Amino acid sequence: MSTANRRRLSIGEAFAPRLIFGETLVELGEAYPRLVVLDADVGASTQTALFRDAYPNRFYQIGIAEANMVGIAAGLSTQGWIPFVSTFAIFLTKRAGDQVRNTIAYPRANVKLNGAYGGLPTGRAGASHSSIEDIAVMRAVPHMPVIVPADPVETRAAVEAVMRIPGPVYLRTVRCPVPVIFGEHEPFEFGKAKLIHDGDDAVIISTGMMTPKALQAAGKLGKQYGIRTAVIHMGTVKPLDIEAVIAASERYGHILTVENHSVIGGLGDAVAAAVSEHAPCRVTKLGFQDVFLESGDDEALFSRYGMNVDQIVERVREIAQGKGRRE
Amino acid sequence: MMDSLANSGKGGVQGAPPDAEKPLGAEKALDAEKALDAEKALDAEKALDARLDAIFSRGPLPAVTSKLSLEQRIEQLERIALELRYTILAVTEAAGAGHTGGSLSMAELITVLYFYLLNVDPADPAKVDRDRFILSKGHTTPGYYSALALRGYFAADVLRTFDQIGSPLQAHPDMHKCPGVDYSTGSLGQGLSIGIGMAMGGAAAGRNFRTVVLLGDGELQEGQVWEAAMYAGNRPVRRLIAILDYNKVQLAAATAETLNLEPLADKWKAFNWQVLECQGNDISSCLPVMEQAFALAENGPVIVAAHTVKGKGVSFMENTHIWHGKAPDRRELLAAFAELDAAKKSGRSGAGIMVEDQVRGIGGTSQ
Repeated sequence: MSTANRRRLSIGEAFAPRLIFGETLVELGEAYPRLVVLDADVGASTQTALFRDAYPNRFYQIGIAEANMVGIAAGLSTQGWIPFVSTFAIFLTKRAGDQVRNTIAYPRANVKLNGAYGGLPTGRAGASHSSIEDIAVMRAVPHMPVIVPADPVETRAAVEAVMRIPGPVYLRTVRCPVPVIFGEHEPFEFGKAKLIHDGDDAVIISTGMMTPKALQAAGKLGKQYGIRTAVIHMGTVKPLDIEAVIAASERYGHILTVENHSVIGGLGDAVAAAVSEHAPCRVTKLGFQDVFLESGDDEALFSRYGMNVDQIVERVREIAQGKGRRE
Repeated sequence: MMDSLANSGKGGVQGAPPDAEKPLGAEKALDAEKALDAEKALDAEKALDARLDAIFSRGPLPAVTSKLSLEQRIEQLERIALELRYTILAVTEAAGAGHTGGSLSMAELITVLYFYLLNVDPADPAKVDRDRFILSKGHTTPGYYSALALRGYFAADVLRTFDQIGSPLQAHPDMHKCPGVDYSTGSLGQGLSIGIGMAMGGAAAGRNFRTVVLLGDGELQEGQVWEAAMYAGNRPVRRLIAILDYNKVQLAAATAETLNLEPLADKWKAFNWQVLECQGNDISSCLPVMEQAFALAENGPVIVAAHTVKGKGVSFMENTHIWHGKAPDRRELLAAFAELDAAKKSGRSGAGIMVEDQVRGIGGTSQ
């Protein structure tokens, strides 16, 4: 694969994962001559337009018809093509949810799914476009892996990894710029948690774009409050790295989960289920509380729902001080 | 046969008051009659078991060759469609479950496909250049599996496991479990999209096979069908043939009462499809039309609206939603077999009125 001209991703700089996704697809187009990309009119937003321009014969513009797109991808996969279906996560996982389940997952079609615009950042589109339950839906589909990269580096590595995983995979990417936290050659290990910041006093288990926020929060907690906070990143929400969760439970006794997703059925519930079965401890879930999101500026909205860096800091402080515990 | 079964255990004589005073002699006569009825019923049971054993142990039937005259082809395909009907009924009765009505309506269509039109080889079900078939109306597996078994994809006795735990013959077709199934279906309205992907993916890979999607009429109420129709007509997608089993009845009512599809041909034409119509339970009508569809598909997508009768071939199953998802019991199976036997004797395929004797030419299947 030609990577000579690939974009440099330096720690601290921010890039939109959607852009990295689009650029990585173009790189993979050379390495995988059977890679085809399907779009439902949002390629200019999800950046699959880059692949369209590079490989027009391997790009299928289906129109605004997500159900048909998923079915066509299934058919293409029977002929040895490896379709990457990309559209907004909300429509891919809900509008075409039955198609993904019955026509991709059940037949084990080698179709890769990119749920773009995961969670809150939708470019001021509001409730109808905020996919806050796609992880829950995809987790519940039998055998469907769910990958939620943290930053631009991991997004690139995850897209490459998705191609190596046989069968369907759900990849969740986001729209807004996200700071680079990993060194450029950091590998993506499917199904493995990653300790990205260590500390003895508290633990955050996070996924996706909330991991850079959690990392920032851990820095503040150490500097301002002397609370040494571990951050464990779950780049794979399913299958969950249960060993890492058990270890966190046994070491800290109280876990804070942070995700750009509803608290219902996402990472928090996956972690809570794992600890309740194997190593019971308290789990506090930070995410969207059974609500439809409003429209507005991304960061203002994260604050509105209690999920900015300072709010994460506050939640960890409460946990470290033993507040909110039912005695 | 049916009467003796129906009356067995009920005393044989209808209308006799149970507590009426009877002379001793009459009592004995009644007992004798009872015994005779019971014996008849037992014989009928044994005969039915033997027939079912024969159905579930039969070998494959050969495909019909294009070297035969049209009349001979029609005659042979009718004979196969009739065997298919016996098998469908046996399968659903054995399972105590299954979609009988829609399996019977598609009997001729699937027969023409698997025994004449499709380029397939049961000995090599994964052959790369084979024609593809998708049962979009995935619930009519009794018809599909019976055709695959008769064609030789798997032994007929596997049909006895239909819808049972661990069986390759799941209620809806599973491509990883059942030999010959090109795609798993079950959720209605999705087959045409899959077919588009297969047809385009095959063409892009330099393969020349045809992709056939068998649609139910009820599932045309699903929006995805029209997404697919718009896309296929627009591109246009070549070597894609949709066959509509237009049996006019869906799960709970007539299609026209539920959500009328008409004017149906106009809809598909407006979506840039080539539209053909035929009588789908009449081989002499659907064979040439489906053949024509295969030829026209070189230019773009074709749909054959095949007018059929739900439950076709068994009078009490015809044109009703009652038999949509219901299996016959033993008594009903006997009655259904009796009707198919009568059709067979009269040289008909079980599709009855559709077939003109003179068209079949060489005397049909009369014994």
